[in-house]
Amino acid sequence: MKKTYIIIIICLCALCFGMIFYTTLSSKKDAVTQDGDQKSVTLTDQTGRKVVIEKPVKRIISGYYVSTSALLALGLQDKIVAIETKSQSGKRALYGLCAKRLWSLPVMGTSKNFDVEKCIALKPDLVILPQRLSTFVPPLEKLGIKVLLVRPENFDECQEMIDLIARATGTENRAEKFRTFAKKQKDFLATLPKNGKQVYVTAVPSVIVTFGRNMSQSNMVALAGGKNVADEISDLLWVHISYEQLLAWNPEVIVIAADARFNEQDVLNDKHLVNCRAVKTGQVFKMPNYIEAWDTPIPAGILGSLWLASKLYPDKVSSEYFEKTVRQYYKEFYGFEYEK
Amino acid sequence: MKNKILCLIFFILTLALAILSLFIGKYHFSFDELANLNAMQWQIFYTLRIGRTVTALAGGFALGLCGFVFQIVFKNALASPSIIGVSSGASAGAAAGILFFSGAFAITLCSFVGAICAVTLVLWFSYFDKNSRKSSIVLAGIAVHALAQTILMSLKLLADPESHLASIEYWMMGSLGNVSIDRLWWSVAVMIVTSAILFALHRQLILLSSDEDEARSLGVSVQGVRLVVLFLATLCVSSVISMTGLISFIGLVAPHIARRVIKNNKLSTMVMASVIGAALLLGSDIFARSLAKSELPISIFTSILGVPFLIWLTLHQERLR
Amino acid sequence: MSFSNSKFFEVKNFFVSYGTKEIISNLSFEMEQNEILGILGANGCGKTTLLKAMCGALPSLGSCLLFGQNLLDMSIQERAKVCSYIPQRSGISLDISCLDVVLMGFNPYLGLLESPSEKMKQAAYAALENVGFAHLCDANYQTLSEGQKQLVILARTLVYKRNIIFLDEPESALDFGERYKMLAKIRSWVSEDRRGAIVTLHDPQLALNNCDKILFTRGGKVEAVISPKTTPREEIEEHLKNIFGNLSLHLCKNKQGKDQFVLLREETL
Repeated sequence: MKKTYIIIIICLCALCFGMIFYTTLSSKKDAVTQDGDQKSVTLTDQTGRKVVIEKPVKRIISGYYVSTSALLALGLQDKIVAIETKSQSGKRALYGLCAKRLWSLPVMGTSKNFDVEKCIALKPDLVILPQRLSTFVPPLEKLGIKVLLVRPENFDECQEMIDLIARATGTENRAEKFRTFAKKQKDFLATLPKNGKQVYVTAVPSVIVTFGRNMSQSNMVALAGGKNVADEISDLLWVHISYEQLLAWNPEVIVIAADARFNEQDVLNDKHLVNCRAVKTGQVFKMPNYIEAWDTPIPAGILGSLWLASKLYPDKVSSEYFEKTVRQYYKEFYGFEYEK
Repeated sequence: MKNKILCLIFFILTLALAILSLFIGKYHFSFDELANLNAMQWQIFYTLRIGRTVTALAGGFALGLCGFVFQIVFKNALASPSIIGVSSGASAGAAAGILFFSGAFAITLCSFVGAICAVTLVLWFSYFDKNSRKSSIVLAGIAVHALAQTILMSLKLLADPESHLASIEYWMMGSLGNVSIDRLWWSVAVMIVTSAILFALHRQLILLSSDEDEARSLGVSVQGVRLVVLFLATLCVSSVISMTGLISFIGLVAPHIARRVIKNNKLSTMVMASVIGAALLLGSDIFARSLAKSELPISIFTSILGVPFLIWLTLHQERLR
Repeated sequence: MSFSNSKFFEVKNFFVSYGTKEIISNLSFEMEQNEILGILGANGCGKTTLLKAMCGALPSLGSCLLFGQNLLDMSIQERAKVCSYIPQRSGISLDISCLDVVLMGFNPYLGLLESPSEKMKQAAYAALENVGFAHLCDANYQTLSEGQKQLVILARTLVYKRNIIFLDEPESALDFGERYKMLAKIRSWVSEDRRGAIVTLHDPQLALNNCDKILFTRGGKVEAVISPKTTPREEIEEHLKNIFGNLSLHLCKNKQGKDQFVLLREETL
């Protein structure tokens, strides 16, 4: 009896070691092809990975709504074969306006998950994923699929991302046009007073969740000539604070996230904020989301700053100018005329 | 005599922490201002500072009390309110509230309902055991916990990872920062009423801790009294955690400390457990709101307090009760 | 309690089963007041089951009539006022003072939210004194030996008026002296008022010397009912042999000249 047990245990151990051995061996195979080919380009993505992309890129999968927007801006709509997810019409109102075709495309998952098998079955030339899905890279790379990881946490990184995708897809011209447009708006905004108004930006969940100085929202406020009251906080992602903290900062303006479920009335009626400057003067605004959520680090993020500037300094930035710029932007880069 | 002094120390400590809590916060009141608060400042002080202190006091009190109750009813030194599904039910409810409704009130209501439903299910399942054994409740608790976790997982899958998911996670870590003063008074009222009844039922509680047969032979309607006690304790705890999110360890640790101070599980031990719970939560909250620039989840601090204590308890296991 | 002409305690056609297994089968006996009835039988013959069922802790068929009223039809509270069950081992696992343990005995007479009165506390203290543990009234019950715990539980049982008490092998945790002490306490208790006690014992010698009646059980039925004082010694010996094997029963006098039964083990031939 004892002998049998020992034999069984030895067999199981051998099986285990065998499996470990096999998988380690097979992972040593590298999927990196030779460099120097004219038909390919070597890129460094936003996490420092070197990726060799074969040109031309005809089939693109985007696993992130930000890169999807960038692809649309670069005129690559027809090359997209799958997108991240169809839901959240607020964020993706854009697709309905200029890229209805996207709604009929296969869906790759959410921003926490990615369907590797589906992706492989679609035989893409290029896959763009956000950094948080980096765990899905190894299985894709092993099968020779090219993946670019992007991490646009602020406007500069967003511009980097656009340039990266442009180089991969040969649409550098469009990217250049985009940079020109963004620069023009930035120069215009630079004429506004610096750190003029105290602004508090809410995140999506509730009014007492905000963004610290290293987030794109802070950047957006600064460009619009305001000062993010929460910029003493250096945390990344959302920051939970208390009502007391908000009252202590006493912002002049409160900006509500585009995708928040609550709106201006909710904030103005909030008992805890009765004594807040912004509430007392009615300076509470919700970022519009009828096309895209401009308070997130998307290519059109500059429009978020412009919108905010029009609220902070209505005499310097008129709402007509803002709407005109919005129309112009989406006509040039997304090919549609937006009528309110 | 030594014990009486210790009791006094704990009472004073709790009072001191409560007063300290009134003076710590991100909104700065100078001492002169505090002496003469104008209407606006009073509004802030009342809504936020007093509100938060009362929440910590009442919440810690409820958690300590209910931890004591559950440990006795289940004869388990490691019992806490989560043993009969209160925590998981509240989490599942809160997740539903975050996903399908908006506003803090909806979340509070949903999590309260979730907790009550979970416990009702547990007590209902255990009712099927004609012998009404204690083990039936524990088993039912495990089953309902699993059910609630499944619901919670499904809701998390549905949740938008760019907004709701993080909210759900944050709720589950507990925070006193989002407590609304209006709802607070309802919670405190529920808590006061249920605690008062539970204190009055102390004698029944001790009777419940013996064998079912023995208790019955002493004239205790075991099933009935147990149902009442557990339901009251659930109401008490749910009224707190539906607002603050899950707060771990206080229900586990406070009764043990109380038993070291006043032995033999008297009524005064029960009161002490509640007072110590209040002190622990007040202390944790003071740290949670002042250590960093943002609000830290409170369970971090209750765990920091709780884990070393559990280790100490393991090493000093003279009597695990 | 109606004091009719009915017997003090009667068990009629009693059946107890665990699932499909019948433990007690059509058992009947009766008992007078101020008596101690002992139940003897081999281990595993269902003595504890019988006792538990009689005081309502286990489901059963049949009737247990105390002064003509069926115990099993009463509410838990009513029943607790007239009868009490003392288990072999107390199920109290909490840290609790001995006085609080004894005060538990007043529960049937207190409302849900009521606390014991000062009078009750004094009675509890007196009960502890009666079993010799007055000095332990504030001590933690868990720190007591099993025997001491049993005596505290006995104090709890005797602290308030009850009519019938059921004791399950009370001598198992007690030492030699404590056993006789306990039975002496029970004796003095049953001799007053309208009271009786049913005790399961595994020591037949103890039973013979302390009980007024003894019930021999075998296979879930009553094999015989004897009275140590009146039944012939040979008959008692026969019944004992049937259950416990070869032995002999003798009557001896102690130093005070009192008759006591003594059992001697005999070799099996």
